[in-house]
Amino acid sequence: MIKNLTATLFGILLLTLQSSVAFPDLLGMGGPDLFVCLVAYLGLRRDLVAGAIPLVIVGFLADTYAATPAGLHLGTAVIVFLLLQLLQMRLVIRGLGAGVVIVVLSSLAAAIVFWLLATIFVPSFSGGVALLRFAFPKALLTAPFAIVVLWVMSWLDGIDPWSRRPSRNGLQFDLLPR
Amino acid sequence: MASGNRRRIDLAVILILLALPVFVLYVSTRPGVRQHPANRVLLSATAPLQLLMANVFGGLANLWQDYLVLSDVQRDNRELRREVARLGQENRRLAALATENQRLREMLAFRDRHDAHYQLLPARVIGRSLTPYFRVIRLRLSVGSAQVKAGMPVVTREGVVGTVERVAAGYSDVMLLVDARSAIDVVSQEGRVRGIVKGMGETDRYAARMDYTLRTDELKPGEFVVTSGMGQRFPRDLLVGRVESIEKKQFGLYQKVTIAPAVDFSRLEEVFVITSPPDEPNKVPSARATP
Repeated sequence: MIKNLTATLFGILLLTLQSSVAFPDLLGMGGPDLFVCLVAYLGLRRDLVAGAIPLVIVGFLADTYAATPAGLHLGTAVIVFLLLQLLQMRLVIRGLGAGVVIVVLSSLAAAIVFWLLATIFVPSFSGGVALLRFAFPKALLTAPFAIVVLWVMSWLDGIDPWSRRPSRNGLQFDLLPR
Repeated sequence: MASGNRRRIDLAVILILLALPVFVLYVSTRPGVRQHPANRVLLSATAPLQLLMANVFGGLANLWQDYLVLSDVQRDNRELRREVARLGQENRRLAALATENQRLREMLAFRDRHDAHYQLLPARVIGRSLTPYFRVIRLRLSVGSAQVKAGMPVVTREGVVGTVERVAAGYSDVMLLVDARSAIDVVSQEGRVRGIVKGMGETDRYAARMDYTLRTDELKPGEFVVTSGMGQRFPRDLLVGRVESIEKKQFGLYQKVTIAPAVDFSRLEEVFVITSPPDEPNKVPSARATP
């Protein structure tokens, strides 16, 4: 419960940061995608139910913050989250570096999913070409921020006083506090 | 059994997760739905957060901008200080040049004034005696040493400096009139009292005395003393100094007269060597070596 709350609050903080801070707009592709970092963390470190709750809340809010049709970011986040759930059931991912790589891949996947959903549900959407063109640079731009987001999320999970469950094998951030 | 339940729950969650955004998207993209009250609630709930964050980060950005501006100010300050120092140095250099220019003009005027009576050869002071026991300066002669010979008088526009002691390869050593070995025949300007100005050879000041003035001669403190022209070394009426103090005793033939040299030897930079032999005392026009 606490973990979900902290993840949700941290997600809101990330959304607020992403929408409020004037990141330098490199080549017109906007700032880093902090939200996808959170999605990647939830997809890799949480099981399906535990990850879904903050994901849905923050996903809804993401659309509000982004002023996009409700469900667009949510749908994107859900699909990426489910893909990562599939991935983490088959792969043991260790280390912060691996986490960053996953975030980069998640960002690429999110761009594609976002483009698909927008194309299907939003007839007036016309930014598909730019979205896909800048998908990779934006993913690379997000990578440094992923280090911070993953570290903070893991740290927040670590300070959960009610958690008695031993940590699962899976994504282990070696640099994180125990 | 538990695994089966878990699987069913997971499946249900997945279905909900997939259906929810699709439904929401479908609903929200219908015309006019974006004005739904739920949207307005969400907007009014999240906008203040955004505003707060924008203010916080805007403030931080302003702080950073201020810091950058301050850094610029510091850099400008450093550059301006350097510029001030450079300009100060330039100013001092120009002031020194102006002083030198003025001095040289005066020297030139002095030479023009006396050129008709004797030939003046300009020279630059390049060194002084290392020991205070010998009052000697070294000159760099402007046109070689051919015309300059030992014993020739050396003057400035202020008055007599001394006599050439030795000459070699464009350089010359000049014995100042305050050197203990120096002796110049002089006469007081007003009372025409004769005497010999000799250097006192003092190490802590430039001083001379006037010897062989009779106790009965009338001399006044402050009176100018000029060359007499006797001895064929110095032209007559070149300023040597002024009477500083007079000491008359109740007995003896002579009085004790101290002379303050007219020339400030500590600031000598350019001088003239008088290269032409002085005329007969009675033929030389009365031209005082004063500015």
